[in-house]
Amino acid sequence: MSDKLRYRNRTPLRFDFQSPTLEVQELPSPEPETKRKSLPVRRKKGGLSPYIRTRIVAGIVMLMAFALVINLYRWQVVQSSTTSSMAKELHLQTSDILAKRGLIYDTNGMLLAGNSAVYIVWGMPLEVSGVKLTQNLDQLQKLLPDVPRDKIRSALVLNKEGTNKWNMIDSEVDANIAEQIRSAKLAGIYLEAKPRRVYPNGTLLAHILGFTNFKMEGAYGVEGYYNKDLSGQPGTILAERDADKNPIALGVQQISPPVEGADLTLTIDSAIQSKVEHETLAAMFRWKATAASAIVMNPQTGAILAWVSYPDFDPNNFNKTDTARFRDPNVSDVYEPGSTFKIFTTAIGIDTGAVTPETNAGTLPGCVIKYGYTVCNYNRVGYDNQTVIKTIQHSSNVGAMWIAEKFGPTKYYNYLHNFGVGVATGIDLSGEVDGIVRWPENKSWTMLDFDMNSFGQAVAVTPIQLVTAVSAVANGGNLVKPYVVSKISRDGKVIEEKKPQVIRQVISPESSRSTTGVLVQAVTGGETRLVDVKGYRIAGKTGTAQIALPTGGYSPDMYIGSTVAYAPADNPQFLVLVRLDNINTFGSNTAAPAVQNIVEFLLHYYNIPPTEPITTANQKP
Amino acid sequence: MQIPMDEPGARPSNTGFIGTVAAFKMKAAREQLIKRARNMQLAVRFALFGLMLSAAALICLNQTSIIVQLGYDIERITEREAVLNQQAEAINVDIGKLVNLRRIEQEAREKLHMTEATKFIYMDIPAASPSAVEGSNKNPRLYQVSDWWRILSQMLPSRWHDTLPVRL
Repeated sequence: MSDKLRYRNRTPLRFDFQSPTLEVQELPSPEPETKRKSLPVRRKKGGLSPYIRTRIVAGIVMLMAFALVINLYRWQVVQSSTTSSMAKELHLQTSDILAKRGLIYDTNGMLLAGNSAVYIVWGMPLEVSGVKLTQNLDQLQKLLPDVPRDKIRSALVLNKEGTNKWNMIDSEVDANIAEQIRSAKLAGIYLEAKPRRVYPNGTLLAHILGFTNFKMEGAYGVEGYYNKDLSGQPGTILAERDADKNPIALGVQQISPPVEGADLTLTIDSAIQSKVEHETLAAMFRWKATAASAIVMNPQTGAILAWVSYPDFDPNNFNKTDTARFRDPNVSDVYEPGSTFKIFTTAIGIDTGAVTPETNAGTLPGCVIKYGYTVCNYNRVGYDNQTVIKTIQHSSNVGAMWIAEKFGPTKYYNYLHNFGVGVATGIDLSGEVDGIVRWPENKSWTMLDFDMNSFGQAVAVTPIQLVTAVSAVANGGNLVKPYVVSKISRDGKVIEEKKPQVIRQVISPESSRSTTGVLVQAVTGGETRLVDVKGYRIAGKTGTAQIALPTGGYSPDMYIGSTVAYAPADNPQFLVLVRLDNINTFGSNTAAPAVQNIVEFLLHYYNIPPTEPITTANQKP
Repeated sequence: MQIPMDEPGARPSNTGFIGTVAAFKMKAAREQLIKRARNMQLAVRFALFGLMLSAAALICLNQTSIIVQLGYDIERITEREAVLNQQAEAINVDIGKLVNLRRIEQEAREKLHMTEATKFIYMDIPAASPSAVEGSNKNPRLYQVSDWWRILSQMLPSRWHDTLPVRL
């Protein structure tokens, strides 16, 4: 009998198929089991019996189990919503996907405002050991020379309380430096990118562009006006994440993609802008003006080609700039336009039929007394055979009053309103104001206002208002709405294209031509002659306005000199206004040469061939 | 004790008490064998099932691990993409700085010693070109080639030839 068989204590039969015999083996009968003796129960005197103790332990276990069940019931059933939301909060995390802010280009596709990133360098002391600390210190010292070594050290060493687990080393690290830090793979050093608006051309077009603050919100200029378009809509990502905050691939994931900000294409031409800035700044320094501004506009469409305001600022460093500089004087500040306003008096006189360019007033004095006030020409000189042309050529205040009185205040103010004087133009820039006009409806209005308005005093306009109104004279009589943004696009697709918008017809095309003729005469043989460019017909008018003092009255020796001109006079492609503040001489001497330089540049820039014979008489004095 | 058998595989002779006992024991032995074989079969089946289940679990685990790894890879690639996008934007800004007209003007003046043009010449070129002849513009290729005066004008500085009267 094999041991195996015996051990298994199976049936004692074994059948051998090879030999036809059946061997029956008998196993020895198992020994009768001896009854296991139970251990003697030791029981202390007065103690509990094992039976009781077992029951107590069992009871405690049962109680604990019961408590567990109760708690399970509480967590799983009663507070199931709370616990499930807690679990979701732990695993499901929503994070924002930032929308890229739209870019701004000039009309030639040159980038004016772009996006970049600055980086925050964080130190995590728990991951920095002794050797690594020295390595990190040395490396970071080289890469971040502006940050003191002690500051880096304190950011990488855990304090006694162990509370400084994350420490900022630098918050404004350039992308190139950040890349070097990243590639150095320093232990315990982390980089966090934050978007930053960049204006690659610095101060160029600062007032038009405005800026974005550190929250990437636009302020001033087109950044402020088109902030909603530029910002886009941020998206969200709801994802189940693991302990390392990585999204679990097969987990819950809901992505709401961001809507990227729209790109803006401006009507501004950087080449023109650059030249206009140069000339305006040169004039400002030459004549020691405290401020200067210039606008170049296409009078046919209202598209702004250049826009200058000094003093300016660098939108990249807006936080280091005096906030007063953010205000754009071209839309937000009003000034008395002075003699440039005579353009409207002339145009209204011609359009109403009250005068023609050749209407002769006879002899007009250098000064007249009106309603108790003495009003004089700038040089106090009177002229014989004073026609409308001569009035404009000599920029005669007395002559302007003579023209205005021919058609009277009612028509005058109706026309002024139609020219858009005293009303915001609606240009797509933030901060535009209306201007100040005392209308006949106002109680304080007097006939003296009417007389003074005729030569541009006692009325205040913004530079853009003046340019828009003169455009109506230049382009055949249509008041056009000025605009700065020509195109809004997203992902290369044009969303909105701005079309030139005619607000109303103010004067007839014939009146426009006649008035332009008068203004050309002012350039060829008048006070505006410094605007003249050889071989071209330029229409223009200078202006010298007194500066109203806050205490009342006018400054005796400081003026605002301005000149407005457009060319080619018969089919104007551009209109230029240059204004210099707080100068002690006339606009004809100060702003006019700057306008002449700009006009000459523009004529060549637009490849406009000369139309007039070049004679020595047309040469610049 | 030996029980004689007639032939190998044949049933034992069924004679007497001993025969009855032997037959009973043989039946029991056969049933035992069949039961054991069944058990073996069941064990094999169970083992096979276990193996299949393990294989399926392994495949599933492997698949999951690949997907998770891919998820991490996607995350890393997304991060890398974000960094590259930031770098592309930074490059775009750098290009913007390089094409800054003030910088170009400064380079032109200082390095290339260029000066601003003071004299401009506008030329009127008569339009009596071959293309002005009626019918010559029917063949666009011929029209292009025959514009000899236009080709000549291309030799002028760039800002002039654009202003020449062109009939297209």
